[in-house]
Amino acid sequence: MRLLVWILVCVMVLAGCSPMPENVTKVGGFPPIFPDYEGVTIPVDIVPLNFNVDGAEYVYATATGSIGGELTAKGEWADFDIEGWHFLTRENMGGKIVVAVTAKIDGKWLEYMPFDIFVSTDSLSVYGLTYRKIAPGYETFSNIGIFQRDIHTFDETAIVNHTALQGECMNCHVANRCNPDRFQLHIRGRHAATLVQTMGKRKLLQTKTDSTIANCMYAYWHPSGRYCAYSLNLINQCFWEDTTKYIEVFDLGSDALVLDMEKDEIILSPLLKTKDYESYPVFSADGKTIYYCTSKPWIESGHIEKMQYDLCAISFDEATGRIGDHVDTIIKASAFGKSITHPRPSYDGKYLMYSLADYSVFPIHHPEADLYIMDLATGESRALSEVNSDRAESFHNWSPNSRWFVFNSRRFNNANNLLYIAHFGTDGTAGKPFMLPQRNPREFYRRLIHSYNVPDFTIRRVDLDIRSFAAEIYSNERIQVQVR
Amino acid sequence: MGIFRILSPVVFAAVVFVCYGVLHPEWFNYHEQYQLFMFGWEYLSEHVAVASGMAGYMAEFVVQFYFFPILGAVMWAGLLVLMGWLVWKVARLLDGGCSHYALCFLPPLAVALYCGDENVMMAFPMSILLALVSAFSYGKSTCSWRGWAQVAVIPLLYWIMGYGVFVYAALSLALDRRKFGYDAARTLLMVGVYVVVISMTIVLVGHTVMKQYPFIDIVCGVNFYRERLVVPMMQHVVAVCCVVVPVVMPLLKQSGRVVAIVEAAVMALVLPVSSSKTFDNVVYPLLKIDYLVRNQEWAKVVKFCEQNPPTNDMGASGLNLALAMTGQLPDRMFEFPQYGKNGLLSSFERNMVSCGITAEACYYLGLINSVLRYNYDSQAAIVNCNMSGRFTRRIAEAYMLNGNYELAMKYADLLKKTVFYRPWAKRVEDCCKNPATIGQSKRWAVIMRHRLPENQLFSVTDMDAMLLNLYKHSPDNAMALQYSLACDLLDGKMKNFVNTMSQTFDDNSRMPRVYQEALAWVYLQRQGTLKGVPDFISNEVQADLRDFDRLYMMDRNNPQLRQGRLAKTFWGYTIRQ
Repeated sequence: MRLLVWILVCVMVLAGCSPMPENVTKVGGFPPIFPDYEGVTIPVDIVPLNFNVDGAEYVYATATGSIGGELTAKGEWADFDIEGWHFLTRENMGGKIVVAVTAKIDGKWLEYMPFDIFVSTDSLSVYGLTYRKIAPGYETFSNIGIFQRDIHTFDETAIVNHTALQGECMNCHVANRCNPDRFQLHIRGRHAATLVQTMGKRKLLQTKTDSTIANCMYAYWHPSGRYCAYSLNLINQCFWEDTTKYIEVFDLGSDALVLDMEKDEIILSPLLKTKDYESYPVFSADGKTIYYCTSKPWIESGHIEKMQYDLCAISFDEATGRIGDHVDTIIKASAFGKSITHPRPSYDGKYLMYSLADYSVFPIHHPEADLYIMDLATGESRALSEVNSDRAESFHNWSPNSRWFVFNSRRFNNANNLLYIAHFGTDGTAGKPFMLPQRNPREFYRRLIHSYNVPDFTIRRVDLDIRSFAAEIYSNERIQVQVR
Repeated sequence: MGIFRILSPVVFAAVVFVCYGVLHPEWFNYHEQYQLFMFGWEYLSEHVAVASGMAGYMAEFVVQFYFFPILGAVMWAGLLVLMGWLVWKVARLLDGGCSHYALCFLPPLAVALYCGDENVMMAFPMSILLALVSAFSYGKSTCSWRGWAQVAVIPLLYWIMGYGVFVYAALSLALDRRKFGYDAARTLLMVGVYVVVISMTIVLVGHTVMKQYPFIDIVCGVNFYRERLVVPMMQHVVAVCCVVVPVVMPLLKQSGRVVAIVEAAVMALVLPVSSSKTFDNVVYPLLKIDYLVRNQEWAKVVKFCEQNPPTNDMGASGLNLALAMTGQLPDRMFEFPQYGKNGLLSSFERNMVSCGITAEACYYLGLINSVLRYNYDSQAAIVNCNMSGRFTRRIAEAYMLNGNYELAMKYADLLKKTVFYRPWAKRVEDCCKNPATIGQSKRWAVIMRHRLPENQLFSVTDMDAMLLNLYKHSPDNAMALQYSLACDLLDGKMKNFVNTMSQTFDDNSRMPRVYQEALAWVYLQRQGTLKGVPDFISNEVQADLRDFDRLYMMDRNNPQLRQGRLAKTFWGYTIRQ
């Protein structure tokens, strides 16, 4: 009991030692915070946007709502209370949160200009995000896993981690419109399979057939949930020996197809199985069109910069499962010396977002790669300069209501692909994106060596019985898909 | 007996020190280079988040000192002696005196024998040590309800030490039986209780916090063995030994001094006598070359390979690097077994060992992006997903030499949280803040000069051309030229070899022995005779080639062409291909 009292006394004394700003000097300009949250747009109930101040020994931050409410964080970094922050965002929906920062740097208290965080009226009604995290490597992988992150808290849990399926590569966790009732993911290596989980029921598919060049790769669900569009890619890579570029990923061949997830039958079309390379097929919001990227077989020329993909479209009949008989070129990017990849139609059917680089099918390694948005009604495209940086922006996905999107960017250090979330307004413009918040961002990203791949929103937690799944993977029992 | 009890552990420690630290310093290097122990709460919390993680954390703490193998050997010997002492103490608690003191070193001896398998990770001996410490503490406890406390203590200890909890449970049961005089029924009941407690703990852990781990890891320890889903039988043998020895020791009859000395002698001799079985004679030479290459002990690599010729391309790549670094490659490369151009820059393999030497060769050649790639891949291949101090250091260095100071500082920042890499990391950080100082390091200045500035793809198929470009870009990069020519010779690209020679050698240059052999061979192939051969081909080489040609014409299977002096030539290599 005596010990307990002493501990309590010590805790109280230590708590009382929190320094309070005194002899404060006002500084012109915003505080040097990490991550850059100045002017970002956030949804209600998002996890607190904790931040560090460069060089600060102590931070005193006050978040004041333009409509009401106030929240204070103090310590080595601004660490806001989660419940208090949620309350503040709810109270200030449509308004803004003004953050005033006073920081002790080199023994002096400095007060910076307050910065704004805008709270959107558009909801982001999801549980969180799913993504793959992978440690850096060119040809090797072991530290790899598919995770889900609650975006209302800092909780991250593994869906499939490397410890469960040791030595197996995994990727492309894709749910149907953010709904994990239907999702698929691939396992590569000795125990390769495509997992399809529909309403809690699992099956493992062997997707390579005699009529196709490879296993199914990049996936996208039909809105009905019956079909999935896939590309089949013979992926290769080469390595640069100069100071600016490191790696180039390319296909030695690729086709596209549709897989009937009920009958486990693949639907081929000669128009998606040409000598050209077809990749990244996706369904339109109404499911009647397949958008995909296509390139001439540039490898014959030996010039890697000829690896330029155009955006094309072909119709799809859900009732019969038939792919159309002619291809429309939507954007002939190669004509103006560019390459389009990762098309993603918004779920409201109004826009299509894509990556644009000088060349490449894998823009993640291209600093010039940016996100573009196309208005599907007018066919006009523009660079999403609101979110782009001078480093690579690539893989992106929409929220279920198409008012938010998540994307990869290397803007942090040109090596780690990190996640950013941005608001997308009804007027077709995006808000300033914010980096996926962490409790102590500086420390978290300082130690992070992983990259985040294939991010997507998920409306609920993904539920996968990992032990049963692992046993099934090692059993090597697969359902062989058939060609329709 | 007093002196005997002092001498026994000293002798045992000395044997361990010699067998591991003196004869196999590569064992310490191997363990140290596949981890990056960082001080800080985050690193600790990552470890203690899994069962047996604390044992792993403590093991990694110890292994960081293996950076200096001699220091590591002292710690390793000390740890094993401590293990033996604990066995003795537990045996004493089980029953007063015993004259078979040396037998207490049987469990640590078993650990030492088992750990010769380089894939056994230090978390396992640490788990055993923790189990013995816990059992000893339990035995010393006078608490009357200590038996019931086990219901809580066992799950806690399981979380800390993992697999070692089985040893602890068995020993604590034996101690209780001795202290409280359990009859058979009570003993059986307690066994049942322990089994239920451990089983429930494991099942609970397996279905909650460690859902992502296979049960074999949850039961037998996470990161106790470096191969996936493998638990060698020896792990169980060691565990059983740790239980049986202290239980059986008190049952043995008192013995005289002679028996005690014989027992001690056996304990001391088993490890050295079984050394060839304990330390795999295929794996350890490779680890030795890797260790020497890492420490730039080029002359020692060559000397070692003179006694232990490489048996695969990885070993050859270490040897060839050492030959190049000592300027002997063009004269001596065929004195050793060669395994094609993979023996220069090994082709990529998905394991954590084979790329390390290639990465070093790339480093000295100035292929900085390849240094980055091979080190990243080597690190990514570490089975338990650890980071590596060795690889992280090269990654930081490569980024710095490429002018990517932001990333160099990121990796240097991680190294700053270590003991032995910290000074180096601070130096890199300083250099990144003031890039003009990078050139003050002679090696870094040379590498930056050798580095290719313009677009060039790393090519395995045209490796000779790529290396020649490296030389042309920086003509003082003699190693690139040596490697390019060696690549042609190993690949049998004689046209390329002759072309490169004509571009790069003038008449006044000293012609290395291997190049003389190759050019004489080409001359003989073209002219059918050595008459009129250029002056730079010595009489000795001409005479040897004549002998070789004569023997070959008489009998192409003549053993002298495959063994002996003539076999250790370019011609010998060529006919073996």
